[in-house]
Amino acid sequence: MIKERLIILIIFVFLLSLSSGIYSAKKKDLYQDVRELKKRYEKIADLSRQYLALSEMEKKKGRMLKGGLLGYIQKSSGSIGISDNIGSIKPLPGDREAVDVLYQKLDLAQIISIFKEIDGVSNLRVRSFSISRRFDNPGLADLNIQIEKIK
Amino acid sequence: MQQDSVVILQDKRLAVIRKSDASAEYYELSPDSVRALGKGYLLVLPDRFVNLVYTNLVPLKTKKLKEMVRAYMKTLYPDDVVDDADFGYLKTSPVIAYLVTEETKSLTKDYPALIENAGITTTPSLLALQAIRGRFLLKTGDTMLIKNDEDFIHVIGKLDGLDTSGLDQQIDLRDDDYKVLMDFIASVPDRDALNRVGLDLLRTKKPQLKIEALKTEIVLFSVLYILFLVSLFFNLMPLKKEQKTYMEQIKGIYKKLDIENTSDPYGMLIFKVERFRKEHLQYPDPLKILSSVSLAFDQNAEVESITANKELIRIKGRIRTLEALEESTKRLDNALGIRFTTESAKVRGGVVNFVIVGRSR
Repeated sequence: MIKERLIILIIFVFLLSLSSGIYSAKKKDLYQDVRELKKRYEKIADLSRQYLALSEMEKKKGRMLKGGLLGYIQKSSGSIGISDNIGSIKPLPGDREAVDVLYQKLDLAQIISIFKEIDGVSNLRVRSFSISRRFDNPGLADLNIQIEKIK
Repeated sequence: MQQDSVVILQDKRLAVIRKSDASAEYYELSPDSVRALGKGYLLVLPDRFVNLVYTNLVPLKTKKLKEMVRAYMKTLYPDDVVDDADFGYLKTSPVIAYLVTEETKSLTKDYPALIENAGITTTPSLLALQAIRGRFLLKTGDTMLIKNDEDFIHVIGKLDGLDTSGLDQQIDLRDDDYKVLMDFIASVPDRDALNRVGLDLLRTKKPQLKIEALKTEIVLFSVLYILFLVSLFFNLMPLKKEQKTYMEQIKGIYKKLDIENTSDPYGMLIFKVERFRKEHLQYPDPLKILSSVSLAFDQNAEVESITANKELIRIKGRIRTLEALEESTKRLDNALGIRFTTESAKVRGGVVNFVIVGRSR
């Protein structure tokens, strides 16, 4: 009987050790998984916030320009009342449609109006701009702007 | 019980004889009486308990001997009789094989301790074979052993018409005649000779775990083990819950962004964000730049030109002091999130002409 009891005890201890070993390995893996999942979740949540903010930004812009850029410049300049201030306008080479426009003798309010007008079109971007104060009239400035149509 | 005791099983009775004074005591066969015997005695079973078979095999020290005996027995008995549990052999010279009868099996099952505690277990015929020289006939109530010069025949039952004229002696062994048996034992030359006729009856029946008797322990350990497993399982629950929560939240985000059904939602999310960034963030934001510049530079500064593209923002102007320039630059850094550096700053006539540049990459 002692022998049998000993065998049962040994089996019991063996099963306990085996189960503990399996449990420890499983817990370690699970802990690692959860840590990685947490990092992944944080990254995904951050990306999601960025994505939503950017899509919101685009939604706010509203309308899209469907026609050509040259026509748009002429039309928008007319609506702001600065058609006569266009010094030059020329298309730029490249994959995307882009123009370089030189406005002359603009006041700050007109410059801001031009930027607001472009900002209100979802598929237009200002590739670059340069505002230079005029020497002949410090209250006015020339604006050289490159506008790109992205899609 | 001492090692010099002889225990003779006589049906349901045990005769216990001390070699020293040859006196006999009788006990009914029962677990108590078996327990009282102690250990190390010489147990003599009724002769009918094993059927002896003469073989011409030499007792080789090899594992193949058992198979040789088995093969020999198969020439005499049907295959199903020659089973591990039914036959054995003694390493006498030549080898004596034996078949275990049902009575022996019952005895080992009902009173295993009787066999386990015996130093040697044997039968009258085996003792006679070791003790008596020459040709003889040994008759017990149920068996006959005819020993010739070389071989012998052991029969359970009676042989009618047996010619006993050529035999040297004839011995009638009554069941209760222990004195003849004691003479046999005394005539066995030495302990080794006695050991050689010791039957290994428990070898043929592997010891089984006493499961029934250990039911309580098994149930107890099983319950403990199950509790242990359950505790381990519950220990893992918080981690599993946390894992599930994160997975559900990630799934929720994918669903919200309508990318859950794509093959790689995570890759799709990165792709979309990167695309948006390219479309929005790489271009200068003129309105933000103008408003930041107007906030950063106070009334004491005059901005002469602003140039901005995807890589940099350059601001040229005039300001009263270098300290004011530093402060304005810091404000601009904070407003646009770009680090501005002073490209040039020249002091002329109490005014600082400056050019500062901020690079987005």
